[in-house]
Amino acid sequence: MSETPIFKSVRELGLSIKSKDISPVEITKHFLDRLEKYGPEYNSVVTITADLALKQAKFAENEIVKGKYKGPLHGIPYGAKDLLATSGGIPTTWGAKLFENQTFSYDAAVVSKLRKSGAVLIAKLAMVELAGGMGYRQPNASITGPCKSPWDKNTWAGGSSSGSGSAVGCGLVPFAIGSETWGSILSPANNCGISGLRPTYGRVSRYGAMALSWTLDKLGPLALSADDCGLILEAIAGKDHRDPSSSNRKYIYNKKVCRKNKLGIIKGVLDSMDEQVQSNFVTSVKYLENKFEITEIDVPDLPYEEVTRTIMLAESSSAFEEFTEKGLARHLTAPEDRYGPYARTTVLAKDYIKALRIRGIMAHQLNDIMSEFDALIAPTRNTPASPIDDEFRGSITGSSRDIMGAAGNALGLPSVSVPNGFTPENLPTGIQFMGRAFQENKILSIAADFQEESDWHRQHPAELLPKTEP
Amino acid sequence: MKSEEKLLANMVITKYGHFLKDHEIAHVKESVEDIIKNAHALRNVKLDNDIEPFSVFLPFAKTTEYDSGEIHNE
Repeated sequence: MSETPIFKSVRELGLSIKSKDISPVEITKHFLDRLEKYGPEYNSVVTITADLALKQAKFAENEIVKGKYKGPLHGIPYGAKDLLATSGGIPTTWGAKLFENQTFSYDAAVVSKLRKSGAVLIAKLAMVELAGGMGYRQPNASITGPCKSPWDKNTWAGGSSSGSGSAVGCGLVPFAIGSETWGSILSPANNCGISGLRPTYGRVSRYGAMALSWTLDKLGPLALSADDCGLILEAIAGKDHRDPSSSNRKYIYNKKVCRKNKLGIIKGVLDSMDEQVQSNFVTSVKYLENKFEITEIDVPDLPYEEVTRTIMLAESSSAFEEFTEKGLARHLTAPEDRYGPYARTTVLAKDYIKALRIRGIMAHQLNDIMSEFDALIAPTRNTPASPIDDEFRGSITGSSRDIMGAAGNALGLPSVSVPNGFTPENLPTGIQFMGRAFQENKILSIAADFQEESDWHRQHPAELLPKTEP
Repeated sequence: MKSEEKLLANMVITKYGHFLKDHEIAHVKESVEDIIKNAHALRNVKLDNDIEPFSVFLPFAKTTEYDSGEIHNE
């Protein structure tokens, strides 16, 4: 490869490795240099796993030389959100000072699967402490400080998979793994101007990932394109007996799927959105209207946010019971995280069960509505990246409306976010395509088509572009 | 604060108040109010008796050699 591997898609890098234009060791060294140089500046990295990465890269290189090419991720470096267990003495901090020395004797399933695909673990990436589950309201809720958007260091990368978004957007890793309980993959994808996929609940094993809310947590990729997200999902999806919620359905990435060419927009979804977010979304809709019939739809009047919030609060209260009972929250960084775990101990069992019962009603009714469409579309977030020092009101503890996020996460529906423009301040905005359960290929095919005819995802911050050789 | 909110907030303060500073207790009270507001939204949804939680309980039995038929009683 005569050009730099920085800001090349996984697919492009994979082809270069396969054709031996560049070696896994060369690529890994390029990205290690980037991580060392920019990681601390953007607060996007917790641990650079240089020794392991070079060892894995050399191993991959030897396999490829011997003709044992494993596929598009073989020899490609990646970063993992620091809530994924990694063996070998590599810390897994869950983004919190309290756990800075925490280590595991095993790898998370997703880390094992990526190793089997030949991918190279190059860094553990920054995150909001305890995946934001304690009700943080500020970007500074992390052991590594506020993670910055590649597009403006005075704005936030989003959360809670902050480092996964920022590192991909800064060109420090070709792809990363994040997690989402409610918004934690899509928010950084939006703020960092990259693509992010929240897979169907159960598509990817959660074994070895910090549990915040067992029936809401999902793991998924962040990358430069929707196409890359599909390649990565194929590598990490699959049944795992250690995660009883993991699905038996086999996933093979395939963009050539049958589509109805119909998209839905939930009425009122643009209410209270930032003006420029609305404007970019309307422009995207006009473009999509060339290929799709787009209809505004009503959804049943159900307490979507309240259901998701109640499930999250009740499950996290149990997941962090010992942490709460010992008063360990006082060691967290964000002031609101220090009292966050206590009020939720008052969620009544009957209210939690009621939320689970309404969840079933929501699942059936939304499935009926969504079966008329290939996907529901909406702006990924209601604002672009917020200022790094600003407080915000989170979905988990607040009362803000977010039907797409609440229903999508409560029902475990897949959604892919891709960039769809910039604000006058040059901050990226995103559009999300949310599909029915297990229909990742459909939403990825639509998002990939969108990206074939737009170049938002090919734009990168000028100050982060690799310097060309004189 | 209404009675339910007050009762639950007092429970939190009784159990965890020693971990909390005064200004944090005020925030906890607000959070309890939010939780009750959430709960009311759920309680207002009328469901028939047969609507079950959307999660499936599966009885578990680890397969043993007896299940596979390899060992027979004499």
